[in-house]
Amino acid sequence: MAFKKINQALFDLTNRLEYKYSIGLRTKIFIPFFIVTFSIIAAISYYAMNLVDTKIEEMQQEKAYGVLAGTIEDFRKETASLEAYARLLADSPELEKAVAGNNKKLLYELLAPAKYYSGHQKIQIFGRNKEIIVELFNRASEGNSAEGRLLDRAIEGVTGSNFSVTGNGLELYAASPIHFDPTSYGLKVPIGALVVDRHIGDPELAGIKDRSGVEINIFHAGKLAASTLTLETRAEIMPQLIASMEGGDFRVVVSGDRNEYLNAWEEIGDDGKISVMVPNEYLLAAKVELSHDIIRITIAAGVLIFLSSFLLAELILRPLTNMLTVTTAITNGDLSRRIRVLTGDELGQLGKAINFMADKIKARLDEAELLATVDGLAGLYNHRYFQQRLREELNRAERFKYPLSLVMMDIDYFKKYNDSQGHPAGDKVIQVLGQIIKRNIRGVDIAARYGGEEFAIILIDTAPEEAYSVCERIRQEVEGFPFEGRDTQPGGILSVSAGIAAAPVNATRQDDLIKMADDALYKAKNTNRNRVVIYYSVLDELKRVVNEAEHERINTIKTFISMINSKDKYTYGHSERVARYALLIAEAMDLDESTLKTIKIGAYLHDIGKIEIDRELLNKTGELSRDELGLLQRHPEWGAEIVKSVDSLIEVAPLVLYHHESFNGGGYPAGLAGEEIPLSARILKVADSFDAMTSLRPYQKKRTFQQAREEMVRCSGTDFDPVIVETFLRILENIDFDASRMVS
Amino acid sequence: MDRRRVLTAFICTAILTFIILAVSGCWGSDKAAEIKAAESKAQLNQSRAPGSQRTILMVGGSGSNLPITRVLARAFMERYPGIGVEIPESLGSTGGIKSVNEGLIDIGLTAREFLPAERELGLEYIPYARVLLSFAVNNNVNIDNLTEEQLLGIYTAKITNWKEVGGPDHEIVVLTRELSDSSRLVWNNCLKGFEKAGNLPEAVLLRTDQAMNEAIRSIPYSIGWTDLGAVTLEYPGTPMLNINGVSPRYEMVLNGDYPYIKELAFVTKGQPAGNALKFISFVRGWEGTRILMDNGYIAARKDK
Repeated sequence: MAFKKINQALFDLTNRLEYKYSIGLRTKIFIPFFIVTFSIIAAISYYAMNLVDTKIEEMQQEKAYGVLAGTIEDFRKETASLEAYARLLADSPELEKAVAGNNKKLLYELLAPAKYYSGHQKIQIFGRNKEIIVELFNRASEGNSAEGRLLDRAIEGVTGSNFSVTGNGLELYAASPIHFDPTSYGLKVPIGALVVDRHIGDPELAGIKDRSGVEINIFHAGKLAASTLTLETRAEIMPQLIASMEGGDFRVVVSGDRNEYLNAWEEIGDDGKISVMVPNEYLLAAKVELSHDIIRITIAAGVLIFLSSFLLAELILRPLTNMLTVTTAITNGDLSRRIRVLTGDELGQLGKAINFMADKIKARLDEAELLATVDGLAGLYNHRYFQQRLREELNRAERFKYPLSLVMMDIDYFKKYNDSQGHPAGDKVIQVLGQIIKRNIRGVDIAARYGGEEFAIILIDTAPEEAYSVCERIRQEVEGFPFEGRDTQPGGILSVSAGIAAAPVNATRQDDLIKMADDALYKAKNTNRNRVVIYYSVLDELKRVVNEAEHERINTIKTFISMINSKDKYTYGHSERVARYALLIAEAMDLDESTLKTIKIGAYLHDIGKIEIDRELLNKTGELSRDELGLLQRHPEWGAEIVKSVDSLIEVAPLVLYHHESFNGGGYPAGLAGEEIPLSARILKVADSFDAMTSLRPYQKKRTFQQAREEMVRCSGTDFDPVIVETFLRILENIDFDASRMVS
Repeated sequence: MDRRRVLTAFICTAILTFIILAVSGCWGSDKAAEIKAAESKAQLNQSRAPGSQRTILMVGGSGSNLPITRVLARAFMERYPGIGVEIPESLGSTGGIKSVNEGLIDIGLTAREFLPAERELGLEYIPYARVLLSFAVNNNVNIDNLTEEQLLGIYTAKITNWKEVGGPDHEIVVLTRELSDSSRLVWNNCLKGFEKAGNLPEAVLLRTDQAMNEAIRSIPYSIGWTDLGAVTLEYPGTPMLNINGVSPRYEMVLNGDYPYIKELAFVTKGQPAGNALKFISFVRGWEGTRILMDNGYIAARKDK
């Protein structure tokens, strides 16, 4: 349980660290690997160095003891040869005779040269009772027990030798009996003894040091008796040396100037020690070099491990990072990116899998996109796609400077059809229409189902006139198609109406273009349907003559118009008809071009003042209150104001202002009468009223042509100028009203 | 970017490693270098072992000459590494002269003048040093002066105990040399009655300078004679006696108070030549003179 908790805590900690220091996979691989491997190597090196130390110390130990043993052996050999010397000397007949005869002179004469040549420290002749007969010595020395023992045995007749330590240093002793055989029978009786003492002093030790390269110290009773060390070194080292020997075991003795020695020692004789100090320099140097080598190797290994950890991390990380980059790009939408698969291992397979996945996703998305752009029923593009393409195509058309036509097409009386024939039939119509449209356009053109019964076509590099031909073809085909139950439709046929607007002539912006095509469609709807209309705006024509500065104003006015139209759909077609009627009248009255133009513009703009009026009020069906009426009747004034703001339209202002004046003066706003009212305004009044009568207005029923005619006559002289009425009626007779039937 | 970065890192690390390895090669301890130098020098020295080709000069004769001639020979060999000088143990002046005459040695050493018989051999006598003589006693005889009479008394057994001349109470051990000893000849000339005394039968007779010196040093309560050179070179600490109050010192020789000196000379068959001449010239030249003076000897007379 606790283990789990600890685990969790550790995990949290590492997570936090990871985020805080953004520890990547590379670090996670690199650092542990490096640490572990390097630790192992370091541990091994450390162990190796320790091992080296130990081994070398062992070697040194062995060497020291080896030298010690060798030195002692040397001494033994020398002692042996001393014994031989003593024996030889003691056995010489002259010596025997001299001793037997107590001839000191002779003894001196024999022994002095002998002593010189042998270099011994002391030669003594003892009598049988161990009394000294003669002795030759360099320095008086105290007796030695070892010596004493030898003497005893020599007196007994046994030659012997030994070495021992005295206060002067190491002494080699040999003793041999001196015999005398007076009878020459071979019965030798010891009559005395010869004792020889060879002193191993500093010079002798120095010789050994030269040969074997060690320092030798002789101790007697705890004090240094002889040594090959220099006096300074002796002083420095003595305490450590004595301490190491008292410690009882082999130890390293270090002196002041970085000289290291190993001390091997042994006891000699009764109270002596011989110590051999093996200089450690060579082995120390070797040890140091070895440790340096190990260190160097460790460092080199460390560097290599560092490198290989790095490369290892890199080996794993690089493909992963690549994949990460590409995958991120894909998730950010760039579905064209793929991973470059270089290896066949697991990472390579992962890469391939990701690529495959990306392909699949792309295919799905493409499919979905395709589905999203298409209207299944009509077999054409959908609204969304249409909007997108329109934008693109407009840009392109602008860039490459070719015309682009937009067609808005609508099925006439479709609701009626649906109601009478049922929705499945309606769907079939949509389907068929889609096919018809597709048949009549090129591959580059884009046909879409804009709404329920509305269709839109983008015609590339097509002028409005050409677009018109295309639409006409479609319209005729639709007209001729034997749709199920079409005879129940008005006119016995199922038809479509279409409006065309073109860029750049009509508009450059997408919304404007659509609006204009829509306006044109609306016009088509309002002129009996089953027709194709190209967008026309008198104001556009005006723009051509008006100077640049006033284009702005014209645009504003156009905007107003479209605002009004949106408020009051009826008004638009109305202005057009009014314009038509007014022009007919004006032409019949032989008015000049300029006036015609003014009338035309005035007819379009006469209701512009309605912009100030609420849509609800405009469309109200019931009785109007006084205030409401008052408000409504202000629209000529407002309209005039608006129009006046454009210098080029100054002429038009009076028309707008006075188009509701009655001939008898009962109109508004100024209550002018007769000739006071400008002619154009009078004409406009007639046209306006006639159209109002023959149109479906929210506030009145539609009248037939005959009824309207009678009304005109009745109001002639009161509301209308009689001359104008007469002219108009004459015109009406000549025109086939049916052909110009409007109002849906 | 990645590839280049990795490659750069790799190259940098590799270079770093090599630098480290190279530098750490210089870490080797100075001690090691020292030791190596010492080793090689030792090896070099060993190559100068005996047995290498050199010409050898055999120089031998009187024991009196040996100490200083050994020193001179060593200095000479250092100066002329190609020439070796071998000096055997004492042959005595007589032996030396004889050996030179017989061609057994190149240069003879003598501490006395030619005997009449030897003069006829026609050998060259080339003095190269002079040395003071004196009597000496063993360490446990603490007297420092004897008069001529006392000396004579000791050597004629008239005085037999040290206490008679102010020393410890012990029998005197008299050390003497053979009658033809070169030093003895000086005593014969300078000490009245010495010659006539001859050798005591009980006196210990020693036959070489070295044996005499050893005896003086080793035999308690002994008295003998030696020279300042031997004492300086080989038996330092031997108490030398003043004779008639005159101490055996160079200054005393110069002012004539201490007449007991003997001459050391080279003996060659015919005029010295080649290496022998080189050696003799070296010894008689300024180098030899300096060594003589340093060691208690006096330069030879210049008139020969």
